Parts: sequence; C-alpha cells; structure tokens
Amino acid sequence: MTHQPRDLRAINAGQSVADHATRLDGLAKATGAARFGRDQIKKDMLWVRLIRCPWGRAKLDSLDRDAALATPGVVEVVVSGDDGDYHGDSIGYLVARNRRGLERGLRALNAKWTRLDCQTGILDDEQARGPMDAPSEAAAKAIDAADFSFEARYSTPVQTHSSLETHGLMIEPDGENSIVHASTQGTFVVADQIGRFLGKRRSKIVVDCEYVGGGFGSKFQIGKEGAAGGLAAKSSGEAVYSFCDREEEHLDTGNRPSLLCKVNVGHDADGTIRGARFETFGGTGVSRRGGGARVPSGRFEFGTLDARNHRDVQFNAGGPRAMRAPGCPQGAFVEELLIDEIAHRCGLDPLGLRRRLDDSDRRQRMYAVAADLIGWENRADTGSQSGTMRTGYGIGTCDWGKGRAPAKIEVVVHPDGHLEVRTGTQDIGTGQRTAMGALVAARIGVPLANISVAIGDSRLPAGPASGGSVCTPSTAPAAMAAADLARERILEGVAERDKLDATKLTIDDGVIMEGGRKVVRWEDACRRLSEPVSVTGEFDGRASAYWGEGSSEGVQAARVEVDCETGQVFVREVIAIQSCGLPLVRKTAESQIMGGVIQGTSYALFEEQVLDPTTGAVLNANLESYKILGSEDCPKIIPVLWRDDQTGVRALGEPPVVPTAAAIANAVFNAIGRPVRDLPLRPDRVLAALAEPMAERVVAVAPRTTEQENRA
Amino acid sequence: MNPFAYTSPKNTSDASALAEPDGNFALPVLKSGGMDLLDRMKEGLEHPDLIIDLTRIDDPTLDAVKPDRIGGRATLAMVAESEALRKSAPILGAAAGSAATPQIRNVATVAGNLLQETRCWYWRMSQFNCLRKTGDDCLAREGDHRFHVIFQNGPCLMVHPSNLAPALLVLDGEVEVVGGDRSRISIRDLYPDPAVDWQSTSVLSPSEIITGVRFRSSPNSAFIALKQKQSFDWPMVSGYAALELDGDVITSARTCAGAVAPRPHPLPQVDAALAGVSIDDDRRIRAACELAIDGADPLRGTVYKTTLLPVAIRRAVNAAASLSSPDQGGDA
Amino acid sequence: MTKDSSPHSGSPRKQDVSRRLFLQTIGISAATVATEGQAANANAALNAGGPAIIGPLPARTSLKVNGQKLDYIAEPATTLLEALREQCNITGPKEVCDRAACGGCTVLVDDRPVTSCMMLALDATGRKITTVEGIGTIDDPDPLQIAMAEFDAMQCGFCTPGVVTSAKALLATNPQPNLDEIRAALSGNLCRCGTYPNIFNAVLVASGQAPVVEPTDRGRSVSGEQA
Repeated sequence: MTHQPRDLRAINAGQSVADHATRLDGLAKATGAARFGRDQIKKDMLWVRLIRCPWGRAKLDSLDRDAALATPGVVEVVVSGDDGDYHGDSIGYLVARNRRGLERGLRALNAKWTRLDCQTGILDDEQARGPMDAPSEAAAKAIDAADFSFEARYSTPVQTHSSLETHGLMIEPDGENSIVHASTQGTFVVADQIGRFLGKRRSKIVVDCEYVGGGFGSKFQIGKEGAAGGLAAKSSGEAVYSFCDREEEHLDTGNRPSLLCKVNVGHDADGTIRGARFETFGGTGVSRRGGGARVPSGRFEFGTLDARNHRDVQFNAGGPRAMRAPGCPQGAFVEELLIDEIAHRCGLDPLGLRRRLDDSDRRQRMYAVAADLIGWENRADTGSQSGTMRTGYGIGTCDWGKGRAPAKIEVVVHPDGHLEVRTGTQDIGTGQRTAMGALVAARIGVPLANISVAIGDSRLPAGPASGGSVCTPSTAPAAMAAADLARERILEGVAERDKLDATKLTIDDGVIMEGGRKVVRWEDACRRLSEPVSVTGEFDGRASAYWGEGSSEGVQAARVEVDCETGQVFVREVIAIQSCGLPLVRKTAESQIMGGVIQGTSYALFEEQVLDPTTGAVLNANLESYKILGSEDCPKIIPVLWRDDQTGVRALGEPPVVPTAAAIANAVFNAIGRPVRDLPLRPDRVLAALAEPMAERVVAVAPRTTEQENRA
Repeated sequence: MNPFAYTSPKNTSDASALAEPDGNFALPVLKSGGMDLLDRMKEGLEHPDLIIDLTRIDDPTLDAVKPDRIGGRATLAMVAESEALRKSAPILGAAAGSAATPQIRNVATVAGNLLQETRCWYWRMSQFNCLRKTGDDCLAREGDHRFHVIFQNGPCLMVHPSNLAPALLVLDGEVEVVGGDRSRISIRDLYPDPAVDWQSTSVLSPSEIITGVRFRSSPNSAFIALKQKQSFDWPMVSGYAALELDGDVITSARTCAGAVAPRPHPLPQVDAALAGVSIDDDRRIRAACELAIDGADPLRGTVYKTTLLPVAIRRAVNAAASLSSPDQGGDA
Repeated sequence: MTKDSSPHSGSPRKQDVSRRLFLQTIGISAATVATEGQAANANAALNAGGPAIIGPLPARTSLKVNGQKLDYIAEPATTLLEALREQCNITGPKEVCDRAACGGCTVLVDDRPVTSCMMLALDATGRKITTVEGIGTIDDPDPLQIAMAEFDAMQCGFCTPGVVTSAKALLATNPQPNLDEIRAALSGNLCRCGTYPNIFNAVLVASGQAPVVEPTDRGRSVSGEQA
C-alpha cells in the first residue's frame, strides 16, 4: 500500500512516545485468531444460566423442577429464592450438557410468578417530582443578590454498558488446578473472587483473559453468572461455561444510573454566577448507592454553592455499576447546558463566558484551539436561524484526577535479542498491551519489532484492574523501571567485556553506542547471555519523583445539524482535545479519544433503558431497541493529543467520554434556540422544544461577536 | 428453540401439503429467509415442530425481479439492487433498501417482509400476554407506546412493520398465492380489518404461499423513512408516494403512511388534494400533505408522529416529483 | 403460517408414511446424542430425490466452510453460528446479540454477508460459507486485515471479525467504494468501543484509495485546508 498511515492526523504527529506503533494484537483481532473467554467452547463442557424474574417485582408461586430435570441434557437445578425485585433478578441457576438443553430446561421450569406493584424510575419518588427545597442561607443570599435567577430541571437516562462480549467465564479443570477464562476488567479480581465458589485456593486458580470484548466499568466482579459458574464447576468437577446472553446483559450487569437534577441559580447581567443550589437524584434501581453525579464539577466558578444535596432513589430495576467516568457525563451535561443557558440569557457567547468562569490555564488554550478547529466563527447566535436544517455549535469540558495503583512488570531478555514484557493486567481494548511494549522498547532503545507482550494471565506479575483510568498511569512507571533494569543489565555486560564505562553507553534503535561510535548490536550483546535474564519493575502506587503528578483535561466542540421539521439531530463533527500527560502510543491514544466521543454521542442521541411503567419489565433488553450508534450516525472526529509541559502518563480512558453529550446538547440549543434538558435528545423532545417559545433573553443587549468576546 | 424437524420440498405443492396443520405434524411452518421466524422462535413465541424450507425449490419465477413483478422469494437486496425496478418503480427498491441491515437484506424475502409479525415490544416479549395473543388488553395503551399508532383503527395499537406493503399499496399491488383456493389477493385485502381481526398476521391460510407480487409501474414514486438512528433502526414514520405527472402537474397521486397504523394506511384525502396540483406549488403540496393526519387519534406518547407524518408524506411527494433517489431526512 | 404458539408437548408419536415422503421422526424424549445408526446424512437427503425430513433428533450435517468440508452431528434446531462455533471450532464469528441486530456473527454465504445467528445451519448446507478465518490468517493476512491493524480499526476486537467480513464482501462487489458506500455497507455492524472512522479509512486504503483525513464530506482538514 502506498499511503503512509503516519501522515494521518498531522496535528498529533510527534506527540507520543511511539508515533507509528501499530496495535500489537491488531492482526490477531482482524483475522479472528484472538480467542476471547466467550470463545472457549468445549464439546463436553456444562452450560450454566441463571433463573430470572421476568417482572419488576414478583413472587414465585411455583416452578417445575422435575420437568426441568427431565429435559434432555439438564444436569442440575438450583433454586435459592422465591422473589424477584427486578426484571432479571435471579433465584437460582440451571446446569445442562448443551445450549439447547439449557434453554429447554429453563422453559420446562415453567416458573409461575405473581406480579406485585413496583416502582420504575426516579419520578416515582414524590420528592424528586416535587419542587426544590429552599437554598441554604448563604446560597439564597447570593442568588437573591444576583441580577437574575432561574430554576431548571435536567435529566439523563439509565445507560447500559452493552459490551459486545457479554459477562461470564469458562472454567476448566487442569489437574488440581482450575483455569478460568474470564471476560473481565480485572485478572486478579477474578482470581480473588472465584475461589470461594470453586472451592479452590487462590494458588490453584489460573485466570486467563488475554482478550476481553469490552467492559466499560461493568466487569470488576465475577457477578452472579461467575458465582454460578464456580458453584457448578465445584459440584460437577467438569468444565463449565457461564455467559450471559444479550438480554441478561441489559438486565443485570449494571448500568450508568439515571439522573434528575434541579437547579436554582443566580447570575448577573455579565454572566457571573453568584450562587446556585443543586439537588440531584440518582436512579439506582434496587441498589442503595451509586447514583451520584459530579455536578458542579469544579471547573467553573459558581459563587456560593449549595451543592451536596443528593439522594439515590430506589426502584425495581437492576442496580448501577461504574460506567466510564461514573457520574461525569451526566454531570457535565447539566453544568455545561446550564452555562450555555446563562450565556444566552445574557446575550453572551458561551465560549467567552467559559473563558471568564474557568480558571484553568490549559483549558483556556484548549478553548482557542477547539474554536479554531470547529469553525466557531461560523456559529450563529442562538435561536437566530430559520429554515429546516439549522446548524449549531457547542462546547463541553472535562478533567480527570491522578489515581494510581500498585503494578509490577517483568521483562525477560532472551539471548536472541528478543524482549518479552510480561504483565498480568488486562487489555480490554485500551491498547494496554501495545503501550507496555512500546514503552519498554522506547525506554531501552530497541525497535518495537524486538518486543512481544504477554498479558491477561494471573500467573504473570500483578497489575491493576482497568478502571478509574489508573491502569496505564500505573503500569507505565513499572514498565519503565523494568526497562531500565533490563537495559542496565545488558549495558553492564557490554561495559565489562569491552572495558567501557557503562554510564557512557546509550542504545539507539537497537545499536549500543559510545558517543557517536557503534559498539555492538543489541542482538549480539544479548547473544552473550547464557540464559534469559528476567527483571521486574515495580510501582508502589504513589506518584514518584520522576513521574509528574497531575490530572488530565479536555475540551470538546461539536457541530450538529437539526432537522427542525422532524426533530432529528445529526452530529456532523466533534473536535476532541485531550491532555493525558505523555501519550504513549499515538494510534491507540487517538482511538481512546474517538471511542469516548462515539459513546458520548450515542448517549446524547440514542441510548436509554425503557421500563414498562406497569410491570417494570425492561422493554428494550436487546441491541435493536436499545439503540447504539452505528456507522451511518458517526460524526467526523478529530482527536487532538494535547502536549505541553506535563510529564508522566496520565488518565486517558475516561475523560474523553465526559464532554461529548454536553457539547452536543449545547449545539442543539444553539441551533434551535431552546434547550433540550433531557437526554437522549430524541426527535420527539426536540419537536416539543421547538413548539415552546424561544429561550428567554433577560439582558437587552446586542449579542457580542466571538471576536468581541475574545478581546474581553 | 424447541426441537423441530426440517424439510426442503422441491416444489410449492409439496410445501403447501406439508403445511397443513392436520398433517403429520402438529405445528408445521413455512420458512423462506427465516429472519422473523427465527426471532419468534428464539423469543419463545412460536414452537413449530416442522420447518418447511422454501429456499431450495427450484423455480426461478420465485426469485425473478421484473419491472412489474417480483418473485416472493426475491431477497430485499435483490429488490434494492434491481436496475429494472429503479426505472419502473423506484419506490420498491428504496423501501427494500432502507429496511434493516445489509446482512438481513441478503436473506429476508419479499414474502417474508409482507408477512412478518409486529415489532411491538409487548407482543415480542413472551412474558406479556397482550390482546393480540390471548389476553384481554392491549398493554401498550397504558404502557410505553412511543413507537405505536396514531390511527387507532382497532383495539390493538401495533404499527404494521412492513416497508414493502405500503409501497405495493400505492402501486395497486397484489400477491400471487398458491396452496389454497385463490390465486391473487390485492395488498389491500391481504391484511384483515384490524377492527374485526387484530390477531391474524394476514388472511392467508397456513398452507398458502406467496409466490410473487405484481404491481403497476410508476417511475415517479418514492419512499421516505424518518428514523431516529440512520444505521439499523425501524422508521418512526414513513411516507410513500406514487405520482402520475403531465408535465409538472400531478394528474393523480397515491400516497400511503407507514408505521402509524396497524395496517398499511392509505391517504385518500391527500391523494384528492394533490390532484391537479403543480409540483412547484409548495404551498398547496404542503397543505395537501397536512391532511395526512385527518382522523388521527394519537396516543399520549405518539403525538410527535402527527408532526412527522405530513413531513414524511411531503418529502416522499417531492422526491417522487423530482425523480431524485429518495433518502431520509432530505431537505423540504 | 401457524398462529398457535403452545409449547411442544414432547410426547412420541407414530406417523403414517406417505407415498411421497420419507419420514424419520422419533420422540424427543430419547437420548440427545444420536448414534451412527440413528443419524441420517442430512446433505444426501436434501440433494437426492424426494424431500426427506431431517430430525428432530441430531443428524449428520456437512458444511463447506472456508473451502473445507466439515462434518458434525447436530439437531436441526441449530443456527449456522452455533454450528460454526460449537461443532466446528470456528470462533471468529462472534455471538453478540443473537438477534441479527449487531452483525457480530457476520459470515459470507455464497459471498454475501449474512447474520449467521439467524440462519439455520441446515439452510447453509451446500452453500459456500466464508468466515473471517477464510479471509486471511495471522500468517497470511488479507490486505484489508493489514489495513485494519495499521489504522487501528479495532479496540477490544469483538466486532472486528464481523466488520472485516462485511467489508470484504463490499470490496468484492465494489472495488472502489466511496465513504457513503462504506458506511452503508457497515450499517449492520455495531462497534461499542467506537472505531468507525478508523474502519472507514482501513477500507479506503485497502481498496487502494487515500484515507480521508477526517472521514466526512464536510469540514476543514486539520491543516486548515478546505476538505
């Protein structure tokens, strides 16, 4: 092929450690050679599935265990409860020799349930529905002192992770040991959790998760399907396969909780926010916690705040699990749209208002780049357009903290010059594998082609789970430490043999040099080893001296078109600027940003879990009516890897999903002149907004141009 | 799926014979592409004990795509890709090509598309016993009915799922049938009156097979689907228009609405208002298409569809008039 | 079409053998695994004279996959995807939604992409089946697969076999597709990680065309030039 991929996205050229490295397992994935947990299918294995309640709340009257056991292929029926608190709640499990036996056995159970009354969402709660409480004394004073004030109510839906590989594991006996092939975000989490169900000690358990088909926060525990698998493996002594089907995946593997946010805000004519009260309600299904939202985020000056007013609302649905940037996309949607509403009320450019309210130096510079790339100068005043297709522009922001975890990475230097990087942590699609390989290669000074990376196996050195965006920031220092040790060992050998000063030696593209003189090739230096050399680098989980502390930040700008006759929203372009300290592998870093933007766009436009209001059954537990963005809905995306003086490998996985829905909602507001305060931005909601009067402007000034804002 | 036997008869008479419910099997069912059948079986809605595969019948007329006739076994992909149809009746290729996904269109057949069951989520979920099954009430009425009707033509609030049926309706289409007493049924008569029979998918007996569809040619015909997602998604509302033109005057129009009623929903009041109107007369066309919602009785949750329907019809009319290739969301 | 959806009772029945049909029906309360003597050769029955009835017990079935003839024994109530993954150890095509909504199970049947989860294995006998493994292997990858890796057109990789299969079929019939045609051809393949723009570029480059710097037909390129 004649085209050089390195020319793509010139804006990111030279911004990462490995600008041209290609994902190490890309070809394995593209050829189907990559084997996931779900692919571990053996002829003689047992199949396990949970017995689940079909209603939001119900009592089990009867089930026919005998008929199930008499079904060909069924081996075991375990029933441990008789009531269900949500659609998908489990009361036991079934084990069968094959898939059909499993299905037919479940049907033969002929479970009869008496449906009970149930709650189906935040709005079943009286306080949530009702008016706001009065603000605290201080906030009330600030709001009253402001030139203007208003109240608004925003909402976001339950979003399911919808990983394409469902939750589950396959366990097979291996002598005294058990090998657990898991779809997980935590190799060592599975290793720790499965033992008590399997009835095996940790030392007898091996977890394999070399390839994982997505997680997005939902796969930090073995879940009920894992527990049932373990129990079945224990009682049968045979290989067991326990994976959720797609319906179960929607019902009972966690979700991003819904949010209702009531705001009472006071602002001045120049956009300064004097004070605000936020009341938030999280829809946490049957769980008692986990529904919080990060609003306000702290990125903008809100004056006197009365903000820690949160309550989780229980109802009869599956409870939440962390989902990519928990609490943040929903919080950003509220906060950013609120700021745009204030800007509009005051006749201000929302970008200009953000510049005043946001004290982050870095984001100020990002605003300028985002505006330039999206063409902010083409933005029409909010609500000024007529006609069918109206174009809107909007902004969103993010920041992410500096969480770290302990990690160990082993590097083995082989006598043929090959380097094996070994890490027990997992690559759920983030490119962890490639990042480790590229970092070691760069740190030592050899081409990536010299490197292979073993990953996702509990026999390998321990590393963190893929969550909180701490994984790469934690494995990177360990990898660097290991690389340094490996490098030192080889250079010491060369120095000793050739009577040189090891501190004066460098390695450059696989050649050991002294100053400008070539001393020996890497492979030849390694050939002198009598056997492979293993070194292990460790990171203790705290920010260390050479490693920059700090957070990641981002700004996104979206351009949309709204068909005002139909309410359809088309996202045309998203500029996604993301700082993450030192990006390691350009291609995979861009992909993380792009993936976050696509999930954020899907969240903005399409996704919501729908419960039947009467029975609490989930009506869209499938990938047809639970709508996920597809190829024809995908915007143009420019991921920008932001480099400045920040050192250290920082969070990248989650921040890019935070600003997108906010930017899109703002763009829709700009296009149609009315805010749509509820996600998803469905056509019926856009049409309803269009039928309302234009959003209020309380300051009677001519809107300033972007240029005037920039000068302000 | 429960166990079933499988057979591939060599001709349609054998197939029809096998499909008699009082034959050798209690629940025989005919299958062409099987896209909807397999869905219903996996959901536990249907448990046939014999599947009669129609794909191996060696009869090229079952697959042929001609300017005025399409074989019942022709796939949606074949209909969408047909040059002959693009000229004679572009509405058909557009409707077929907009359905589902490329993978589904390679397997789903014309007959299957006409006879598929509703997508109503209460009907599709086996734990609900709704009116259309054996229950007493339409569960959508007090439930979540955002995708349901604006014309309550019967007690069941489902919308008809077929992309092709309304297209054939405006082309005065009829189906060719074997295996029963009759050989032709007009599209209009293929589906029973929902006020009288809201449970049957069609008027066909279990042994009847649709071997083809016939229709008049209409070079100025177009289809518009308004979808929330532009990738795989069912239309919120769709519009169909077939025009006869004399210069730039519409001498006669046939329009139909999709996804708003339990059966394909023709719009005679729109047709009447379009007669004699110039294709450049935006005001009169717009006014005519507003009549599409005459008689609409939307549910609380489908009011938005009453806004969408006149738009879909108007865009279909404009597309048909201009002979441009119909696509969704185009400019007014 | 039958409307009756009562569950199958499962009791054995004696059948009349009609003059034109050769019946082979045994009650399902028997063993789930067929022996050699009980199983019939499904393919021969399908292609020879009068229509045979296969099953409901497991029967010997033969599929032509990636140029190879693969034999296994399974009941007619087996989808093509299940036959590939569970009987033939071909795990490239994935089980994702089991309802044809996502394209993760896409294989080619007679060179056309289909969702194998919604096709019976018996519908695919005698036809040419191609899975991602038949498009290219690690040791001998197709240029499309190389381009997919080069352009980082995958993250977790679970949708990738289906995407490669759909894209390969597109290139076979449309060797120089434009961006709109690529989007349309892939509209039945969902990617949850969000790799679409890179997939589009991989397909463009695999077909010998230049990638779009940022895949859309509007907007400015990063360098500031009009696209």
